[in-house]
Amino acid sequence: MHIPDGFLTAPVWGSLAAVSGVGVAVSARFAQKEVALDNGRQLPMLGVMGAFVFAAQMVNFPVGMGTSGHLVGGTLLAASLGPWSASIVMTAVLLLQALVFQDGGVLALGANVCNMALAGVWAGYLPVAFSGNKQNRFSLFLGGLLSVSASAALALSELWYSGVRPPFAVLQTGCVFLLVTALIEGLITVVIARAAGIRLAAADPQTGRWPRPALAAGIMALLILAIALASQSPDALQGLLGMSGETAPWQQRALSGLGGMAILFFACVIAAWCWDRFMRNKDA
Amino acid sequence: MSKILSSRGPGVQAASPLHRLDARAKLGALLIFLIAVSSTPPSRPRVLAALLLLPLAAAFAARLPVRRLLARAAIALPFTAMIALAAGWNLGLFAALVLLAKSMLSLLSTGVIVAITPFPAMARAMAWARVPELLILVTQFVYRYLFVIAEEAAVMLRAARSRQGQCSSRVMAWRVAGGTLGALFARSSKRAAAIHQSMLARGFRGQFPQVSSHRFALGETALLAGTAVAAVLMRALL
Repeated sequence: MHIPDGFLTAPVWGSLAAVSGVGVAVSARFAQKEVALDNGRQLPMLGVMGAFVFAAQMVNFPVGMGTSGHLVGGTLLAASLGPWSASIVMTAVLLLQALVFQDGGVLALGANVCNMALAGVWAGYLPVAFSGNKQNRFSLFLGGLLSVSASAALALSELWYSGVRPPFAVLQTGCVFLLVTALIEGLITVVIARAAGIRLAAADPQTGRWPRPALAAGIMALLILAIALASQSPDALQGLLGMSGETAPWQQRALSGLGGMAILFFACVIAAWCWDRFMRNKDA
Repeated sequence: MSKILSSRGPGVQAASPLHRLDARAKLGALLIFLIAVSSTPPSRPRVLAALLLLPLAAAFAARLPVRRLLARAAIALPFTAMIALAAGWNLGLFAALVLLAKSMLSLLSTGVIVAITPFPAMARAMAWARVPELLILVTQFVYRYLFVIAEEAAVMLRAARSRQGQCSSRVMAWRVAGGTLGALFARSSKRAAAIHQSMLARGFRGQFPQVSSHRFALGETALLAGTAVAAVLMRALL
């Protein structure tokens, strides 16, 4: 899911770098407050969890037909460290992957940070925040699913705005493939959390200080809006019109496919919310 | 796992005048080069061919093994080729090949700079560029413990495999991988607590000590200016 260098056009990577710069600066400010508590007890935790995600990405989970998936980790980090710190850890991992391991581009780093460290982490955090219970397996699964589908949908649309426009059938297949990847992320997240004995809540010293779910939902919506607006710069649009002359029917269908993924995304969020209400009513 | 342990990049040990330059200049030159590649229109492949000379010259000057650098850049080829193929659908085969060349060129140049710039120097350069301090601290931590945790994961997987033999079913394979990672997760958080204790014992006050300082002299200026002038000239003349 890392976007390599050379495919995004300058308006796309430039605006996404700006968005991610602001996002990371804000996250760092909030995370700093959590880390400063108790003589920096959380600081090595952030670092070691980043190293854990790095190592976990090397362990393959067989899917069948010779393919395998691996953890991306946004939800696991958000559930164990809180969303602000998780964004910082994920950014650190992406930074190292781009600068030391040449996995993902340097100019495309802003785009990758937006997709995985900001949108991915917050999308994964949403169901966990809604359920208010970090041990809830269903919310962890939904978090993994949402996290990866949000990252993948954003990566696809960014490439789309840069002129990488496969035909509808290919895009459809790609979307199905990405949905499978997202399902696998959800499963892996649950499997790891279960095997770890779900010490996720214990790893977080101040559960009560997390942002309210409404705030989380608002930030997520703003982030998606910001990325959509940033990607939709005039140059990219001009390129779209200039290259194809007029919008072909298959392009409209492909665009509506992306829209469909967005609708699916929000449907999942609403489902998580309803499930949570249902569970609470049952408890009461 | 061997991928992560062996991917520190070729030629880190070797020293040349290029190795000794300030990391800010090297990263700056990389950015200039990448922007030059990214902004070259697909209709002018000759500019890209000329731009290839820059990372090759740098690799030659730093005495890096060029063949290994190329092989390293080619690892990503299946993935980038897939994206290029998707792009080729409406842009045409030629444009797809140019896109592929752009991505290979970016990978090659990044590989050259990574091979001649140690990570602590990059972290200092990022601090100079006002990257949030927490992000730099966390990145340094991740880098420091990356190989430790990766090695631990490899050992645990090997142990699981020798206890169980070949996993007969997919469910079993998932259980082994998930169980390993779950245990690794718990061990990692324990390790973090131990690290914090030893940091406090050594008088940690919220920052890693910085050893050397920045310098920006003739060599650094020459590298930055040279890259910029070469990129502009190639764009104007070819």
